[in-house]
Amino acid sequence: MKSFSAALAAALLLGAPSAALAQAGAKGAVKVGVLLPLTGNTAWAGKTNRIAAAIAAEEVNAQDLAGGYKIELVFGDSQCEPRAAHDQAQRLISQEKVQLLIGEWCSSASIAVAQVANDEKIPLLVNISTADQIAGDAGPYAFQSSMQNRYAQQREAALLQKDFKFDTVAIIVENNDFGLTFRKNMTALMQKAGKKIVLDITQDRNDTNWYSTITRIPNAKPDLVIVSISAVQAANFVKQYAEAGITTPLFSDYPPPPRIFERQVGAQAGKIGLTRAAFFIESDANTPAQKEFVGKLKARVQKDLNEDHHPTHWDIASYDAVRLVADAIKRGGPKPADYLKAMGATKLDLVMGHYEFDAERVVKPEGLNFLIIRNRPDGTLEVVQ
Amino acid sequence: MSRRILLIAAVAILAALPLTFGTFWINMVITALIFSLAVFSVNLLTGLTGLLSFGQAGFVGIGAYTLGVLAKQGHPPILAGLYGVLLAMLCGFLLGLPAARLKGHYLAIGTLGFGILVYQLLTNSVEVTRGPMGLIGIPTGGVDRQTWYLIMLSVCLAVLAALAYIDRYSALGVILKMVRHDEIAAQASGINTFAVKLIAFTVSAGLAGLSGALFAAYVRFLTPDLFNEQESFRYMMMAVVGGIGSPLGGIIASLMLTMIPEGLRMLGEDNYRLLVYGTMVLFVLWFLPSGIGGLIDRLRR
Amino acid sequence: MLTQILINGLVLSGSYALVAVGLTLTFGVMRMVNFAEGQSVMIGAFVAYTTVPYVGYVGAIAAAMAVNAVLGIILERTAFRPFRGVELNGLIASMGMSIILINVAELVWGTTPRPFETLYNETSINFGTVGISVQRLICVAASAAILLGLWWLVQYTSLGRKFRAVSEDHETASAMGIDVNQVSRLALVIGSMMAASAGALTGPVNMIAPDMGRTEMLNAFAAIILGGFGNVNGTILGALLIGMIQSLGAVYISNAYSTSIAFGLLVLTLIFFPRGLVPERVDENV
Repeated sequence: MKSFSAALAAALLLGAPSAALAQAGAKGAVKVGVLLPLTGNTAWAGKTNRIAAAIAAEEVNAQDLAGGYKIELVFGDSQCEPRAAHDQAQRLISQEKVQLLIGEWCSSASIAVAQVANDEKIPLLVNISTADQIAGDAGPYAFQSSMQNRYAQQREAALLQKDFKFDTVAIIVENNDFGLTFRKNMTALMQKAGKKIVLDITQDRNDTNWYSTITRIPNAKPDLVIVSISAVQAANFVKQYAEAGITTPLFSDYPPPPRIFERQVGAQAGKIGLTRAAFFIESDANTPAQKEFVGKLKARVQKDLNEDHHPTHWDIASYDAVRLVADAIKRGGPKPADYLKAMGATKLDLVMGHYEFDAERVVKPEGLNFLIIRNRPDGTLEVVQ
Repeated sequence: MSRRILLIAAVAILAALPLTFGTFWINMVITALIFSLAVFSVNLLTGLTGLLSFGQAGFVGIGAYTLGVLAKQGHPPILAGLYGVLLAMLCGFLLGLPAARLKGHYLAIGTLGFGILVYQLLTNSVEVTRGPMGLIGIPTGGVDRQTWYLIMLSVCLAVLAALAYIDRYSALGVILKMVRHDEIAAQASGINTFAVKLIAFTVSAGLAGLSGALFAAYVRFLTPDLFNEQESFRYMMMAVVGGIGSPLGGIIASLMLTMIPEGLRMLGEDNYRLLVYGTMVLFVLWFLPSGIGGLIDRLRR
Repeated sequence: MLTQILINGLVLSGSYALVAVGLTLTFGVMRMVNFAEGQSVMIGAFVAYTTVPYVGYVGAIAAAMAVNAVLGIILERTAFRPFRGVELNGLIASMGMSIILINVAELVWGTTPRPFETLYNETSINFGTVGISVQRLICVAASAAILLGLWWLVQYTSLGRKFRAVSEDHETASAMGIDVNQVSRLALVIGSMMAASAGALTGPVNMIAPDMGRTEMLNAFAAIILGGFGNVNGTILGALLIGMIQSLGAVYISNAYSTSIAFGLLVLTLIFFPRGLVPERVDENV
């Protein structure tokens, strides 16, 4: 008898989760469009972002995290290019009939997507682009879940004042929106702190030759060089900086994520002792959620792309975005007005940290992961803050 | 006579077809038509007058940003668009002054330089254009897509007709073509080839500016990346595939080369689709040396 | 600082010259601009990057040149020979090839920018405040050597004479028994090989990625204008000028407009010298 009731209990218990699964999707599927660069010069980042988002959707559906709705992701290749982003956003909305949007990666493409989302009245979650004005410019349908440039830069300025002894500073930026806002914000912050700016250079972002700029540094004799140069150009700059044998301390606004950047110019960065901001780095200090994510993503990328991948904060942003969308659906449902209200009331702990939005629909920076790291000469990274 | 009526009926049906399309495809048609205005500017400048230009994206950008900036400041969009076209024409004139003395590939590279200069100006004049931060929410909304399609169709047909008239019936057309074929003979006949080239530059810049203004009004956002030299190359590519001297071929090429890559998406969100695109361009060039326009001419006969 | 700027300019010029000379050779012989040249540079860089672990740096440069030689033959057949007489179509055809090459590269190597490491990246030679990394020094030296070799080829060998003959008047050259097709093919092969060397030499200076070819071309164009289309010596000088102007301009005028500076000066030059600084000897048929 005992074994029978045990078996019955076991059968009931086993049956219970599948009953719950039968609930998931009972309210139907919600199509969510995701715009990412899947071809073109940023595809190396977009491809893994896509996988991270897909993992999130699978979990949402398996664990019924969307309040009975099933999430169906539809991807659009926006190539980090405004025209393609515009057309793809259109396609996802009118052909694929997505009800919600996530994207994009590059700021110029995000502008295009934001415009379309606003016109079509489709809620958009800007999850990777950190441009300062997007959520505001794009109107009431856009939320931004990535830490905005100015918050990142405030933290960077605070660190600089605390950890570096300097009276004169050189500011070198690219003429894209990161670089220009960095220059604007940092100039104001530096002047307020009484530091003298001895060199102020804005370089064309398509120009890979940094030698001219670097040549001017020893002449201006700054105590510290701060730069905002993104992705590949950052690696080019660091390489040329190291080769020029300059010993002035160098601080950088976030170049490509750790590991990718280290693979490119780790030795040079170590030689300089580069200090930089980063949103995420794989380490023992990671939260359990982060460690779990790293494991999942690495395994899947190994399986799908046969690559040994080190998760980047863009991957995390893609994953978290899908989870944020699911959570808002759970609390409010997929209809725009309710969804937007629910999104505004978000209080959720995900891989990047704690998500809450302010009155302007921008994520509050306090809860999110943000570190300052430094390259040691032996090639390893240390977390400064 | 009845054959003519049939042709007109077919064209009318074809023209009305997009009105039945879903949002996505009608959007493709509209952007293709806007694009073809820039292609027309190449047809006029290079096809008709024989002047190579790789800087047309500069004029498109000038037209677009003038409308965008002025409209956002509160000016009525139509007026802003008009200013855009006029400013583009002025720049075309100014570029023409030195450029009219250049020949062949020197002209091509010179105009390329102009295009790059405009692109960098748009990117760096952050106070005016917001540079890489871009312009969002240009206040030209409230016009539905079907209306946009009819607007673009009318504009394109008007320009097509005008170009056809210039090409076949007007003295200006003859003069332009003479300058293309044999500049020295033209000069010997007493034609002020310098003035002629200047006119060609100015008018074609205006066309390109019109394309830009309409683009800004339609998509309602702008970033400088939309007007880099790759765009200029694309206009030239479209024009040659369509047949450099054939605006009709140009509009067809524009429609085809915009819609076919979209259709190719079924091959996957991958590089293969772009490989097919490049190969298609090559195939057209190999087998249709006068482009699509040449094919049409042959079919006519 | 001025010395450093001039040295920077010299390094730039070296790489521009390699690309520009390839373009000018092709133009001289075929009267068409090879828009796929930038991608030839990119492919050369990637082939060198892939083969360095197996054959060392010098071997990698040779491998890159070999692959590009084949590429040159393919280009000649697909994008140039069919369009003799309709040069504009040839230009567009090379654009089409350019699209194909970029996407092939993306498929083969992926789009992640990679560091092209050689033994010479780390060490620098410094004289006081002026420094140049050994890699860049090799760039300059190798460019000079290759260009010298090409100059000798064009001036003193029979192949060079054929190039010059076809450049001046390919109908007469053909009538005199020169196989114009073969000369064209060779021009494209040599041009692509030079692009390969440019890629293999300058690749280690920065990251390499499939889209790196786009900006290479623009500067090469500027050099050709100054030096004269089809004129190898002039082009080398033009590249020198452009490299120096860019280097000086970036420091003394503006970094944000760096590409425009070279082109701006170019447009200015063209205003006063509409045929370039070294006009080609093209007789116009009246």
